Formats: sequence, C-alpha cells, structure tokens
Amino acid sequence: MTNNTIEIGAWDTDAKTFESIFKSHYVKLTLYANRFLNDISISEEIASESLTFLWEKKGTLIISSSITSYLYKMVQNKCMNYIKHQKIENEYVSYMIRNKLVDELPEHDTNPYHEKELAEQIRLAIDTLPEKCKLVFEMSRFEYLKNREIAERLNISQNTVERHITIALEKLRISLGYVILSVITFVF
Amino acid sequence: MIVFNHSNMKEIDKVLITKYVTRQANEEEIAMAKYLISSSKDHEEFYIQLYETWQRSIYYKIGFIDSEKAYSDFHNSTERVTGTIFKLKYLAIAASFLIICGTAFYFYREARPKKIYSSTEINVPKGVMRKIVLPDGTKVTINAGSTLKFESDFGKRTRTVHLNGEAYFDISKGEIPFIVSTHSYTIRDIGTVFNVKAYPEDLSFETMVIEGEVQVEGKLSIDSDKSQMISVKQQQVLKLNYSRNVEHVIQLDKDFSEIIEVKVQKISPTQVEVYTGWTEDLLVFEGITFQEITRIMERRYDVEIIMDNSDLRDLKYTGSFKNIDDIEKALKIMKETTDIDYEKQGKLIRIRKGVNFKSDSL
Repeated sequence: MTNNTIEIGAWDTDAKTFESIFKSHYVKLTLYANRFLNDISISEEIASESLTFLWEKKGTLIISSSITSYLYKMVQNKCMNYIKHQKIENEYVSYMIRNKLVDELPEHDTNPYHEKELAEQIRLAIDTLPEKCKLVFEMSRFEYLKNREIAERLNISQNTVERHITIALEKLRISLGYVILSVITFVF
Repeated sequence: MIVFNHSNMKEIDKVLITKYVTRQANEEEIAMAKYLISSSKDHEEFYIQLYETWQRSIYYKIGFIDSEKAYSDFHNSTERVTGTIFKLKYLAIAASFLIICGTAFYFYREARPKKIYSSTEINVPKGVMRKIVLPDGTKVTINAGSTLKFESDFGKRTRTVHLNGEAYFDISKGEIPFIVSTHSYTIRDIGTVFNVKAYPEDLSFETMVIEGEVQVEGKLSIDSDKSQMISVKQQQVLKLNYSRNVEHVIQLDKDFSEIIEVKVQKISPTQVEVYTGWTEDLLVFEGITFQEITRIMERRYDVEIIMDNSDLRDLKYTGSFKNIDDIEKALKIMKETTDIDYEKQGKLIRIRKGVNFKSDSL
C-alpha cells in the first residue's frame, strides 16, 4: 500500500458503538483535562462536551488519526482555550509547555497494568494514613470541600486541616516513588 | 553544593505549595507560591510532583468520575433534541453561558480577599535565603538570618515592612509609599530597587540604591541624637558604622549611641555586586575586616566563628566567592592569600594567626 491509496472518509458511528466509545473514554478524558485545569467538575464538562461534539458530527468529521487521539486533542484545545479565556495561570501547564510534555500521556493512562499498579499504590498510601489525616484528605479530594468547611465540620482549626492535607499529599508523593528523584543540587 | 532535598524544605513552603495545588490558596498565597516555584528549581520540582500526586490521588476513588451518569446525561439531552441540531446549538450556548456564569461567580468568590487579622512574619534561618513576592507585587529577596514582617492590611493604606537583617527590594510601582522599617532607621521609597542591610548584631547599617531614590530617616550624625533625613540616590550607598562596644548597647536598649562614621558614596557599576551579589550567592569582600567577614560567613553557612586573636578582627581581606557551598572551601582560599589558620569542629570554626602572621598583611 502506498501513501496515495489510503482512503480518507468521514467518520461515522451508531448509537451502540458510540455508547461504548463514550463510556471507555469519559474517565480518561476527564483525567487528561484535569491535568490542565486541576478542577474535576470543569474537566468533566469538557470531556462531555468533546464526546457530544463527536456524536453531533458523526458522518461529517474527517479523522485522519484515531478517535482516541482526536478526542484527546480536542480536550487539550478546549482546556487551553478555557485557560486563556478565564485567564487562569497554571504553573503546571507552563511547565508542561516548557518541557514539551503537553502531548505526552502518563504511562498509566495508556497501559492498564500500570494503571492498576498505580491505583494499588495510592490505595495503600491513603489507607495507611493516620485516621484523621485520611478523613481530612478524602473530604478535600472527593467532596470538594474547602479547608474552612472541613475545619468547621470536624471542629478543628484551619491550620490543622492544612497540615493534615500537606502531610497526606507528601506521604503520597513519597510513596509514588519521588523520593530519590527529589535530590536536587541547588544552592538556595 | 548544598544537597537540598525536599525533606529539608521549609514546612511553611510545603504548606503553601500544598494549598496552591489543592486550590485552597488565596490571592496572596497564590502569588507567593508562584514566585517560589518560578524562582527556585527545588520548589518547582516539589510543586510538579505534588501537582501530579494530587492528580493521581483521584485513583483512590476513581468511581467518583461517573461515566454511567455522564452517559445518561448525554443520552437524555440528545434524545430530547434529536434531529434538531439547531435547538442543540442553543442548548449548548445556554449551557456554556451557565458554565461561564457559574465559573465566573466561583472565581469571583475565590478572588475576594479574605480577612486575615494577624501579621505575616517571614523568618529566614541561617544558611539559606528566600525570595518572596509581597501582596502588592514587590519582590523581596531575604538574606540568611533575617526576618521580614508585615501587617495584614499591607497594601491598603500603607506599605510598611519591618526588617531585621538584610533584604533586597524590587518595589512594585504604586501610589502608596513603600516603607522599610528597621530597628533604627526608616527607609522611604517610591518605585525603586535597593538593598538594606540592618542586622542588629552588626556594627553597621547600609542601604544601597540601584534604581530611583530612597530617603533614610533616623539618627544620622555623630554629634546629634536628633532624627534626621538623608536622600540616597541611584548608584549610591549610605553606610553607618558603630563603635565596637555598641554591640552590648544594642542588646540592652535598641538605641545606637556611638556612630563613628556616616558616609554616602557613589558606587561604580562594577561595585554593585559587593552589595547585591548575595542574592545570587556571590560574596564579594572589598577590603573589609575579618570581623565583618565572619558575620557574613556565619549567616551564610550557619556556623559560629571564633577568632583567637583580636588582631585578626581588623585584618582586611579582598576576594569573592561564587556558589561556594562549603565554608571550608572558602576558608582554604582565604588561607592561600592571608596568613591565617583554621580549625573546624562541626558548626564551630576557630580562626587563628598563621606562623608568619603580620598585623599589616594585606
């Protein structure tokens, strides 16, 4: 087959196939958007929007790569637009751009084995946190609660909440294998 | 090089970066976190790792990103408007309008400054220095063994910081005059770059202006106890020296009684680094005494230096040290051109005369 013989046509799908595309991509696209936005709710919106767009344009879209990379690219563009529009400066995004990591996917995103391993490591690290620390971390991560709200609910000080979260995240960071990496020779 | 891993990072920096990563930081904290991240590789790396960790921690309850629910939402919304892309477009516009309003409101709420009743104090221990951004955008590099303090209303009606030690200021332009208050002097400024060195334990006070002009207020003459004012212009340095016995006076009541020298000097561009080199870990000594040098070294390397003989105190030395992380390396270099000897025991360094010591050498 030569380059000239590749047929490019509009991408099409049916409801049944699209359901499985939607369900198998939704979480991954949300996580990918979240790398740029650090905001799960808005990341979910963007994942949904992108998938909805794909459904609306079925039969008319010319996709030269794969659906998956097309979706990732669309999510990336939407995130960049969102950042520009909202004037949110995210140091992580600047870092990714500087180091040309924007188009890279973390290994656990593409490799189910790594994904399982990562999930297991995280489960272990969180489950071995001191009880209060774990509770505070979960409230912050999964209940969208502000530090102030957590402090009020648990009747502890906001400083204590901050400390718990700092400790939890630090422990997670270390258990994810960053310990050795972090030795840097920088004078100040 | 100092091996500086993240376990040595200041707890306060870790908390600050954690708050930034978890989106719990207020405007001021965000500005500070960003500055830390952009000015230190170490902080940047810590931030990147923490950000990624925060992202990955979602895997603990990955099910809370609910693709079943998302699909049924999608399905319901497309069912209702099947075939009418036109309507769907309106729906999308309306939805995105709602999202924008919602997020705008969210960010509006986020952006509202929260009332902080306490003052902020930044303590920089010996052996390190720190770069920060004040709420008004002023950049400050704080040298080892110094404290910078400002009140919660900083930037509202006044811009006053209290400095104990040495700091390099790059003042952000603004209507409100920027004031640096040290324990004996007040430095007033509008939109300039300058360095202030006011360690209470030192026998000197110095302020050097790189850009603009500052006014220094306090006791400035040898023969009068009254407070006076002096202007220090661009490329000038104001230096005050005190007699040695003042050391004890300062500790008893914070009042200098014995100024022995006041001078305003013009400095050439090549001399600037004598005053500001420290911000880039460059120590430049231009014919200053061992007495002064040891004070600088003690703070830079977090050590204690003892001189066995008082003749050594007045011995003058010229030389510069760039990125030398180990005090022994610096001492070895000094030993090459000066007839001194030293002994290091942990954090204690003893300097004594060499065999051929002459009090007028160098």
